[in-house]
Parts: sequence; structure tokens; C-alpha cells
Amino acid sequence: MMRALLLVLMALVSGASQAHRPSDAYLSLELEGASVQGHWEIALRDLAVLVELDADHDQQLSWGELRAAQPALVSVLLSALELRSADAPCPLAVTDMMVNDHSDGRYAWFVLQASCAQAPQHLDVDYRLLAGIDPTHRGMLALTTTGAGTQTAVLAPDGGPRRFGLEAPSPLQAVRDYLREGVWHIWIGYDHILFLLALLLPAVLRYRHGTWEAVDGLRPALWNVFGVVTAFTIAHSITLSLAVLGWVYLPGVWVESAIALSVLIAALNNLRPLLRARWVMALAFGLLHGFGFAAVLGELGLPDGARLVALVAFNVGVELGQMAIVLMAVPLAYVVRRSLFYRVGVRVVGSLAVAGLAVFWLLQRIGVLAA
Amino acid sequence: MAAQARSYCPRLMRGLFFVALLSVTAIQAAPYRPTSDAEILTRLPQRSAAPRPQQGHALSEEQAARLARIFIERARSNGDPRELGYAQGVLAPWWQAEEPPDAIRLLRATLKQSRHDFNGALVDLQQLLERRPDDAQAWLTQATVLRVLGRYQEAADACAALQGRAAAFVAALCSAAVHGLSGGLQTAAAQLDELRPQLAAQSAGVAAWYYAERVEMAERSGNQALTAELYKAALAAYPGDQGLLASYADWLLDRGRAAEVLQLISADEPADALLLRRALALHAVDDPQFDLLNTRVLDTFAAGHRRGEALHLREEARYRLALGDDAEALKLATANWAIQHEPWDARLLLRAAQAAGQPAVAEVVRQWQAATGFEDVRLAESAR
Repeated sequence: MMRALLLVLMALVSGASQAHRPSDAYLSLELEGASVQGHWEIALRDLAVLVELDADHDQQLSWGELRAAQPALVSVLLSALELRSADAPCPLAVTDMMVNDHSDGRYAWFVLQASCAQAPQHLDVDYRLLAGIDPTHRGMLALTTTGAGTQTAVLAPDGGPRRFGLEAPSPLQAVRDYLREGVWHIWIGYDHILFLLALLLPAVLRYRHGTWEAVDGLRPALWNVFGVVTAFTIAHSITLSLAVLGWVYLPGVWVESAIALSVLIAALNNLRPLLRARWVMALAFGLLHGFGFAAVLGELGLPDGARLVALVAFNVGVELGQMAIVLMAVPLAYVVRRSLFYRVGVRVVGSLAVAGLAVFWLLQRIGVLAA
Repeated sequence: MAAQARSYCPRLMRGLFFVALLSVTAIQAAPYRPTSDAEILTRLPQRSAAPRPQQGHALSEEQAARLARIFIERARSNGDPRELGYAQGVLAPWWQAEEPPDAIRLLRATLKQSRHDFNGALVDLQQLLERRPDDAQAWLTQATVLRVLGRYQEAADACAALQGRAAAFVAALCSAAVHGLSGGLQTAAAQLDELRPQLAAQSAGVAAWYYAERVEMAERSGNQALTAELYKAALAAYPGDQGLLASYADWLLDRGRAAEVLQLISADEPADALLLRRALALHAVDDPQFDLLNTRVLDTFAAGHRRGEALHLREEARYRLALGDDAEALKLATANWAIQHEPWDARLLLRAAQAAGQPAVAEVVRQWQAATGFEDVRLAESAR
């Protein structure tokens, strides 16, 4: 009776007794076409429950003991995980074993390989590690497909097979996603915005006899804006497409540094114009900025089957985001163009500030300053 | 977060991402191949004296119940939730059963309770008690679950049912503990003091339970001298008791005696619940060791979130509150209060609401306090 009564005390200290962590394993699978690569991390403590690892019973597990148990472990793992596609198994192999450290202890890291008969539309994952032995065990799955991103799931060993759809998003979905990404990237890409603003800042002014004065009417201002924006758009669209389609490649650090340099030159040009036709500058440096956008898109990846659509949507998104900035900045500049505040405060001080920031970026990107 | 930032703006975020990457690799380095077969990878828990975790299908009811009891007892002593998983494993053939054998239903209720499935546990206990009204363990477990839920009237009834069915000491302790939570703090403390001479005759588990109840009453009365004395006596008798160690550390932290917590809980302590208190003590004294331990504590919380579990809400709320993340602490404390109503939970929600500048959120605690008669001088301190 007394022994049984002890059980209740667990509840009394339930808050304090949540020590250690329950058993988690990490299963990561990457699909490319019909082949699956991945790894499976399992706590050594859990493996010791499944297979006798401590051959010399000294309660210490050595790397040699783990290696000696590898064949037995592999056969346990292969019976605890099954991948199927279109009702055909994707035969699984464990090709290597390493170890990895987690904050709650050391894990074994098994390298997995599988191949399905054809590129699967969906994947059935039957996860049974520690099934019936520790029903509170969970497998944390990260399933990555080229073009469709990563999906995650928590797999219970007694939960039966789970089906994961692998289809790339529909073209319509892709258009919506990439349009939004395009808008977002120009808004958070401060160097692109500052380059554009630096070029647009004098659009409501003109340089005559060594000084800047306000333009008289709207027409010349709009022509200036139109010229700069169109040239920038055409230029970066060209290089964005070329780079994303893999026809041209420039190292990222060069592009980033050159973009910073372009911001610097555009800002300095507002103090004492070397080049009056700013659209030429927009065209020339726009080619560089296109490579910058391409790097972003490269990290996002283009969805299979909708590559061109997504590329166009991203580009249109960039133009829309850019247009929103122009529509906000230009009318404001036009209204206050005659004021001393604009001609000195904004043009001189603003351009100097932009130039300073550009120098800072440049030093950072060529590695002189720590990022 | 870092990965997301990366995909959204590489130029802007690269620096940030790199920093984030470093902090991740601190805990999740790349896999590696040990250079020598002799390299020791880990210590394994001693299993020679214990049964091997196994599937329950081949076991008889008696064997399964016996093994489950052993695993639960081990979980109690070492605080390792994997043992609870093994207990559930041997009970698996009966886990979903409508009418499991009585002994297995009781163990199932205990395990559900430990996973914070309080309602599931109560259903099992109710059905068991309808069949076996003399099962003292079932009454005691029921009283415990009802207490955690703050349902003191029903808990008092369950304790009353222990009269004549369990040892007189246990029945009296159960009743006094519930009475002490629901308006009778001073009389309950006096009742426990009367029981104290019988303490020497009790088993270790029951005696540690007695101390836990008595010391908490002293804390709720604001009697610091008595609290200190009781902790000293309790820890001298049961130096390894995790529950006592944890609540003693909490009391020390509340009194600004972080240095003593660092003495109490060493750096190689395996239990996460105690390490969390060590981390808070390191934070309080501005010790550089804090950063590393903080990473580990946060990683533990993250693992719980990944599993979708709410077992660590109280601990995480309390941790974030101590570190000044008030908004997050209030969110967690509110979610925790929806699940359990122990003194800690009430204090936590009040403090978090106060810290976040939203005292109205803790109105539920004050209403509950008015309805139950729950007394705790620390609640008044928190509300100030």
C-alpha cells in the first residue's frame, strides 16, 4: 500500500519534475526528382533502448561500441521508417553514421538515401521509431522539395503513415507569391531605394550656370522622372532575367560593392553634376542592381513548371514597389522644390548623408568594416 | 527566424544571419566523426537493475502493471520524462481500452496526469472509483489532480474519502493541505504541526510530501524564519529531492540570495528544472556563464514548442518574466493559468500582468482567490 501511495507524489511536484526532455529525433529529407537524400538524428540514449550498445557494460558508450553496433542499428532504423510514393516503396538505405551534439546530449547522425520509381507527387512517411516502446517519442520531420519549399511535421511512432503533397504551387499562386516578394524586396532593399531617390532628387530642379534652381512647370519634372525610372527598369530587368536564367553570373560580393558604389556616385552627382543626363546613370547602374535582385530571387528559388511566370511576376512586383516610392516622393519634392529647405537641406545635406551611408556600405561589403 | 530573414533580404540581413547562425551552431554543430574508437560519447543510464523498456504486447496485465510502476517510480526519482514514455509503452495494449483492468486504469490516470491531461485522468479515476470505492490510491490521485485544477471543494471530498481507507497520517495530511489552500491556512498549518511528531514513522516519500506542504504554508504566511528552518530540516533529511531543491531555490531567488542557489545547484546538474533556477541565479549576479546556460534553457523550451506540448508553460513564463520579456511572459502565464491553478501559477500570472502593465489580465486570479479563500502574502506583494 505504501509503495503504491508514493505514486501520487509525482503530481505534487509536477511543476518541478519536468526535468530533462522527452525523446525527440530529427528527420530531414530532401527530394530532388525521384531521389531522396537526408539524415536522421537520434539520441544515443534512445538507440541504447533499441539495441544493446554498451557491449562491456561499463555504462559508458564509446565510438567503437557505437560503430560495432552499426549494422544492428541500421536494421532497426530500416524497419522503423518507410517511404512510399504512388503505392510503391522508395527503398531506403543508411549510408553513413556520424555523431552530433545537441544541448540535451549527443545524437547519432545517420545519412539516408532513397530512390522512388519516379518523381513523386506525394510522399507517404511511415515513422515507427520506438513504436510501442516510448509512445511519447516524436520525430521532427523537415521535408524539402526543390521548388516547393520545406514543410515540417511532428511524427508520432504509433500514428500510422502520413501523406505529404509535393506538388509545386499552381502558376496563379506562384504569380501572387512572387509579385509580393518583388514589392517586398524593393521596399526593404535600402540601397536600391536610395539609389533611385538620389537620382530622382534633382528631377524637380535644373542645373544652370553652376547652381541648382527649381523647374518652372510639371512637364520637365515628369520627363526627368520618366527617363530615370524607365532606364532603371529596363536595365535591371535585363540583368535580373539573364542572371536568374543562369546565362550570366557575377560574384555576389562584387555586385554588392558595386551597388554601394553606384549609390555613392549618384549622391555625389547631386552636389556637382558630372553627368547631366541622369537616365544614362540609371541605365548603366541599373544593370548592376538587376544582379542584386537576382541574388534575392536565387535564394527564393523559382518553382518548377512556373519559372518564367514567377520571374516576370517578381520583376513586375519590383516595378510596382518602385512606382509606389516614386509616387510618394516626387509630388512631395515638386511641391517644396522652390524652398531653401529642398535646394539646400534635402539636396545637399540629404545627398551627403546618402553618400556617407554608401561609403559605409562599401567599406562593409569589401570587408574593411565588420558587418 | 534567421532562415526566414535570409530568404527575404540577403544583403540587409547577411550580417544578422551570420550572428544568428553562430548562436545556433553553438548548440547544433555540424555532425562529425570521432577520431578514436576509444572516445567516450556519453554515459548511459544504469539499466542492469531495471527492466528494459519494451512493447507491452507480450506481457500479462500483472507484468505490464509491475513494469509501469517501476518506470513511473524511476521518473519520480530522476525526473526523466522518457521513463514515463516507457511506462506508457508497456501499457500500450490497454492505452485506448474502454474497460482496462483496474490496476492499469490507475496507472493510466497517473500518466495522463503527468502529461497534464487532467480531465482524461479524472475520467479514469472516476470510473475506477465507481467500481472500487475503497481504492485509497485512486482517491489520493484524484485529490491531487483536483488540487492542481484549483477545485478545492471536490479535492477536500476526495481527501475525506481517505479516512479509514488509507493510513491516518496520509488522510490527515491530504485534508489539511487542501484546507490550507482554501481559506484555512493558519488552522491547516497548526494541524500539520500537530502531525510532526509522527513524521519519523513515515516512509521517505510521505515525509518529503509533508515537508513540501508545510514549507509552502510557511511561505504563504510570509514567515521567513520558519521557512528557512523547514527547508533546512527537509533538505537534511532528503538532500536529493528535486521538488524540495527547486522550491528552495525559488525561495532564495525571491529573497535575492542568488549566490546560495549557485552553491545549491551545480553546473553539472542534469535536471533541466534545476538548471533553469541556476540560470536565473547566474542572471541575477551577472555571471558570464549565464549565456551558455541560457542557450540551453531556451533550446529546451523550443523543443517543447516543436512538439506542440504545454508541459513547460509555467517554467517558461517564469523564466521569461525574470529576464524581462514581459509581454511573452504574460502570454505564457495566461495560457498556463488556463491549464493549472497552483499557488505558483496564481503568483506568476499576477506578477506577469503587473510587469506587462496590464494588471486587469490578472483579474481572474483575484476572482478565483475571492471564490476559494486562497491566501498568500506574496500575492498581495505581487499586486503592489
